[in-house]
Amino acid sequence: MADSPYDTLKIKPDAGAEAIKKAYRQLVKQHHPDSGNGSADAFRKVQEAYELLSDPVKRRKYDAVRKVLLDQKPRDDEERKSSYPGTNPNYPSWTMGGYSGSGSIAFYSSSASSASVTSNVYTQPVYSMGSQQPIGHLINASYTTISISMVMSPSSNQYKAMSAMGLRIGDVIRIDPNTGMLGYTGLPLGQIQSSPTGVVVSGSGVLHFDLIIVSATGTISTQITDALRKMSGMSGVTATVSISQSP
Amino acid sequence: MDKAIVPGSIKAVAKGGDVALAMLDAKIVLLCDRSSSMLEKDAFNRKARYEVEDQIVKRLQTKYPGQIVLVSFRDWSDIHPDGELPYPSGMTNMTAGLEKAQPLIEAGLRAVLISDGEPDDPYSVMELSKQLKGKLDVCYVGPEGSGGQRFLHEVARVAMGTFDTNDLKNPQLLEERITRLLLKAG
Repeated sequence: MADSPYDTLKIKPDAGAEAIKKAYRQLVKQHHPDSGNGSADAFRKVQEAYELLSDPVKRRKYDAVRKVLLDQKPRDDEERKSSYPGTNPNYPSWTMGGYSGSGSIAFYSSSASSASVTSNVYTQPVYSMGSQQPIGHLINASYTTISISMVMSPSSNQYKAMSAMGLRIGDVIRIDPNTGMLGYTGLPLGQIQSSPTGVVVSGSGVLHFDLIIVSATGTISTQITDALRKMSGMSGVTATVSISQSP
Repeated sequence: MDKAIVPGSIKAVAKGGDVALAMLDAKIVLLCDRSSSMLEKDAFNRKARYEVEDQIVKRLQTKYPGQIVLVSFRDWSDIHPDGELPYPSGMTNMTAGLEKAQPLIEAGLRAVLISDGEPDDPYSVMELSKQLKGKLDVCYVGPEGSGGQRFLHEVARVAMGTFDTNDLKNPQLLEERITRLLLKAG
């Protein structure tokens, strides 16, 4: 990071007014163009640094903005971007649903540490039958079908959650377009299937999607992929989703 | 690998100097929605919303060097002195964006929120907007009549800012709108 006014005056960021003044006086003498080792540029920088730090209002503003920058965590967006379906060879490419037709996406992970499901509020919460807790949030599902197949080990939390609720593998999940209630009546939303390569889940329960977002234009938001990635990050779960446009 | 620095961005103007100082000289902070809904390809020329947002933001930085601070929000919020917004992903943590922008707003920068929808936590956004020590102008970029539009209209009202709707089919209008706000801030 480039020299801050604190670096210029060679003081700590928590230095008091007296310390600032003392440092300034010492440095202006040292860098004054008339002195033997003086430098007009260094002299100007010292002046500017003092002007800022000796004004409590300006200093407070500067400190606040500096803090925002210092607090910023380094991100690797390229890495994050490359984990998107279709941009990373480790994930099968897929086509977003909506008007373009259909596609599929699969995630394979055995890491438990990355699982973090947060609760969110969206336009229309989706509930499983008989539950007060929304399992996802949805906007206008009328043009889109989401088919879901999940492979999960009996020790996974998702398996246990399914056992605790009323949904079964093979069931077509439907949604009531008026109430947003998820259950066995209404528009077909998707089917829970077993996978030939995994454990057949004979229990039942809620598929704890973080969120399911379908836009008004019929396009599936990639938020679903994020939610699935989180879920697949949980131990013992592999999720596959195919998305297609309903007639 | 070093990321490219967008011409006219804060980092470009700072020329290797103190970025925080350069930010204090800026006029506006653009709070840009980078949640995954911005990937939807319903904007001008069948482009994704975020692509149009990128173009506008880059053009404005070039046109008004050092005047624009970029803050993005998705699952989290970041500040972007290099002028490059991140690829959209995740949710709409508008609260984090407002919190990140707050010191800049208090430092006197005008804040402009560009978003296409409702945040994860509408209550906290509303509370923060009420408490801002400065105006928050809002540019809603999405279809007419949505819940997001109504919510953002309310945000602008409580934050004493202006409200504008643009479906990004005509990006020039949004660019002009932000330009007007920038010049007003000057």
